[in-house]
Amino acid sequence: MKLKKSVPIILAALALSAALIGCSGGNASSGSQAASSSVTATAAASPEEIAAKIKESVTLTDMQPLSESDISSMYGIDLNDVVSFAGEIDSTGLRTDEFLIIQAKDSDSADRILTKMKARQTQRMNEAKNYNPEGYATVQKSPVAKTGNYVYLFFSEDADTMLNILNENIE
Amino acid sequence: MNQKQKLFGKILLPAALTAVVLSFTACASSDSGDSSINEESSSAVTTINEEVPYTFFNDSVFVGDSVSLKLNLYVSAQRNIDSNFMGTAQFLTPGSYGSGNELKELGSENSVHPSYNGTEMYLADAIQAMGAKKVFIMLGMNDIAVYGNDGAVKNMETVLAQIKEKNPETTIYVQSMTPIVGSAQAGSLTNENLNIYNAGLKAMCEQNGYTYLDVASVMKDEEGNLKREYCSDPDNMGVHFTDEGCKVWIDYLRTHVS
Repeated sequence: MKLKKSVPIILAALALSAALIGCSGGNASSGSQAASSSVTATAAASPEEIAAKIKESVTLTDMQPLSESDISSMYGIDLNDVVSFAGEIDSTGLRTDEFLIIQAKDSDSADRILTKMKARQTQRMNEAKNYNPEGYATVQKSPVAKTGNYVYLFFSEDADTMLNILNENIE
Repeated sequence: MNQKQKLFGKILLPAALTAVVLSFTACASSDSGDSSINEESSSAVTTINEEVPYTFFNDSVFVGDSVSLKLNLYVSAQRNIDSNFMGTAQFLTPGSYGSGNELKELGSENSVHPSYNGTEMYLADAIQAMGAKKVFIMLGMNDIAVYGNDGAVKNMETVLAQIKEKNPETTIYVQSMTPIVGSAQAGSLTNENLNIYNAGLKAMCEQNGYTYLDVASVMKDEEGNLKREYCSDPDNMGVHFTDEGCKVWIDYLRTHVS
């Protein structure tokens, strides 16, 4: 009996794995990232854990956490698309520093979130262009992308370091 | 009546009442003290009222530039401690925003418009989409140098007319533009000009039936400059607020609306 019951479960698990691999391949503008994320989706660290590792390695001053309300009001992200998230924003209003990592519910959710994040990048560049050229340049070159169901933006001079930490922890 | 009750009735209660009266008097005088242009009368709300509850702001939207962006961030941080802080007030506060920017075509070069739900839109449309019934607007810091005092007031009047046309049920609260740290004044961006601009705003509010809130009055030192302790960038732009400044700002609003 036990064996009979476990067969459908195993088949379902195999089907899910195949689906995950299929999804990530479809997203991949960067093949290596997508491939790795698809294989390790279940083993990846949570956004909160990744954010904690970032804060261990990068000095972030005068930052405050982004709340659910912020995610909704500042980015226009539908919380129904979000499994979990972590992010911080400059608390002074003087700098453009900001980072956000979201684990989306599925590939479609990730796409919708990425669209909102890119709109946020455009908005921040637009705001900074007239009076904060350094901030404008930082936001412009900062990564806003997704890997599997992880969607992220890093508006920071340390964006490369942050991105490396993220990649190391979702591989 | 026991000894404690007698002590309270004869000494502590009168003392407490005196302190309250003195405290209100001090506030009132500092409110109008260095703003001869902005004092009293009119539709302007200059009297100190009983503090309104945070729920007063439930259907409000705060509109402004990077000065108000800090208020947005402050409120957001406070909500992590007290989820009821400032009710469900929303914010449209893009950096470098101004009434002149708002009047530019959406998406045109050098235009800045607020974003709602991740979509940039005209202010009147954003307010409509939010369903806000009270609009607290503070603009001018990015306008005076470009359009002059009169031009900036005129632009604000046009923006407010657009808001009312699309949102006839909204109540408009125009907040005076807050001052600059003395040493940071440059070119036409001076406190003298800001006072003139604010006087123009107040007159425009009287003509149009908008409520004028003189937030600037509680931000000034004895020379009419932004108090350094309220400023997060006193040695740079000299216009943005610290948390302490934001607290004073909110205290002012809560006691000057009804």
